[in-house]
Amino acid sequence: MPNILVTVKQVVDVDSLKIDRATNTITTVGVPRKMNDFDKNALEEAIRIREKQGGKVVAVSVGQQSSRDVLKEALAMGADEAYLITDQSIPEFDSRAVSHLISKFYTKFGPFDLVIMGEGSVDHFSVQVGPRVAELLKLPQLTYTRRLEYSGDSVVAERDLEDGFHVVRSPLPCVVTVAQEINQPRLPTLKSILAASKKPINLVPPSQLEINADMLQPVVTTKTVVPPKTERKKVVIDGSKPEEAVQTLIKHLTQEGVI
Amino acid sequence: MTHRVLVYSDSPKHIPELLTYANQLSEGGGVTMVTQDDKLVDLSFEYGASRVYLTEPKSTSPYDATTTSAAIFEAYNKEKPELIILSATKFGKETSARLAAKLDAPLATECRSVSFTDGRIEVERMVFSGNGLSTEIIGRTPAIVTLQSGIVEPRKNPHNGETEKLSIEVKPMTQTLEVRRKSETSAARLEEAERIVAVGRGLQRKEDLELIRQLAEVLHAAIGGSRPLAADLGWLSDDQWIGLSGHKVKPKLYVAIGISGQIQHIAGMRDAKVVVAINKDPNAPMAANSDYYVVGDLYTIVPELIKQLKQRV
Repeated sequence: MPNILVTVKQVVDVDSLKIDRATNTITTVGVPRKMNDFDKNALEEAIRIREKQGGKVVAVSVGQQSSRDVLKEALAMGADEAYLITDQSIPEFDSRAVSHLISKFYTKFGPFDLVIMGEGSVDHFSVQVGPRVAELLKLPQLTYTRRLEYSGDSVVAERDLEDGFHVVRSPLPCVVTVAQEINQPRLPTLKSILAASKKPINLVPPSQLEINADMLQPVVTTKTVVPPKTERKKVVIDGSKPEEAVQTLIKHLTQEGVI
Repeated sequence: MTHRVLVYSDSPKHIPELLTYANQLSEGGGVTMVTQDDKLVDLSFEYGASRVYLTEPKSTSPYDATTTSAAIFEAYNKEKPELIILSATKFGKETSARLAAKLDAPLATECRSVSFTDGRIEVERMVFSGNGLSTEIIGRTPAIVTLQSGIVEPRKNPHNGETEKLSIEVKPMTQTLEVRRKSETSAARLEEAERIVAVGRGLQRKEDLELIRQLAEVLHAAIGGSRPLAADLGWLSDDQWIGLSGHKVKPKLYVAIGISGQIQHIAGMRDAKVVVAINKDPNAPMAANSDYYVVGDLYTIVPELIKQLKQRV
């Protein structure tokens, strides 16, 4: 029966970002937070495997105390246990630090048969924690997975790469990162939310893992985030009279030299 | 200041551009290429590599991040470059991350620019699903970056460099059972297309795609779609999906039909030159991301557009 580790991340809701007009930078202060979309797919996939095969789904998050919310949600979706790796003195962990923390967690709280992650996170989308963790643990990696079959001693993944769909078999344990097409994540029910509220969220300070200070030292830091420059003309054409509307449109497109 | 740069790419057509960019960054410090393919050696020297490491035996199968990252790691140990550059393909990204863990090094993926500034490396990359352009500072070397395509014009810069064999003992950890190629046509057509007609949830029935096909035909355009049509409903094939997780396109003309304009979609077409949208909802997010936004029913506007375009020819 598989013991499955799923990583979940709390991200800013990228639909609700605000622009600070004074500095023309994007601010995340006061922006609502939610579970990274891809992580819901990772959880759903893990829960489906457990429903068929038995075993256990362990959700782990690295972040601030507010990340309890996404772990509650993970429990409500069906995770069996939840762990939050957190240290109040460190406001932000970069991808390298997160990868060290997750792989040390794996070693201390394992053995696990499978690690399932989202292929990236909608905030920074640096798509590196999965393969980094795989390398740190010397495990195989199956990234960009859009279909997964578990069979006791191995998994077969269908990976979506630029040139085609690669069907790959890997021994266990291994690290799988999933694309959003892999499934439709379930919504927690009122009953499951209530049940989840009774389960603990276990706090794990980095000091409990075999971590040295350098591993948490940020190596990539964000200087500024500005709105992308693409400015559109935003000419609105009333389409209630289709013939005239299309005439206007074609005139514009001819002037632009694109038709 | 000169810098030593190491380059690897799984995308042969991206190599001239990567080497051109690497040469600009190195300022004469030397650019080394690592490749698994002997056919790419001459191309590498033509675009400015001063040394090429050719892996041997060809055990480092393409699309195996374990062996490929091991090969780049070997080349790193011989050269000790400050910067390692890969293509921002999916394979390039997963390999770069595996390599980053081997070197315990910083990694910035999908960069639009890289520069050595005040002794540090600064990169620009898109974040927040394409809603933000982020400037990030890499605090130590060696640093690894993956580069998007289309950021520099490739320039020939022939070198008479040496080729060195690099023997790799690492074996793949996984086994590829099958590769189903995506139709070359639709995938390549989209990313290189000069004109694209893209369709979204505003389309009511799959049969109505015929209307979109007719428009694409008169415009000589490729057809793409937003996530619901390409991935969820399956009305289009999933290699026609334009968006954050689908294809990123940069045509001269992009016609978005019945697409509301969720940010994940915008992230895939942000680099289009002229954007036209046809949509019933005057307040859909697509409006702010269009040059010309026709507010109307696609079922009346599109046939009229086809009719008038045909009259022009």
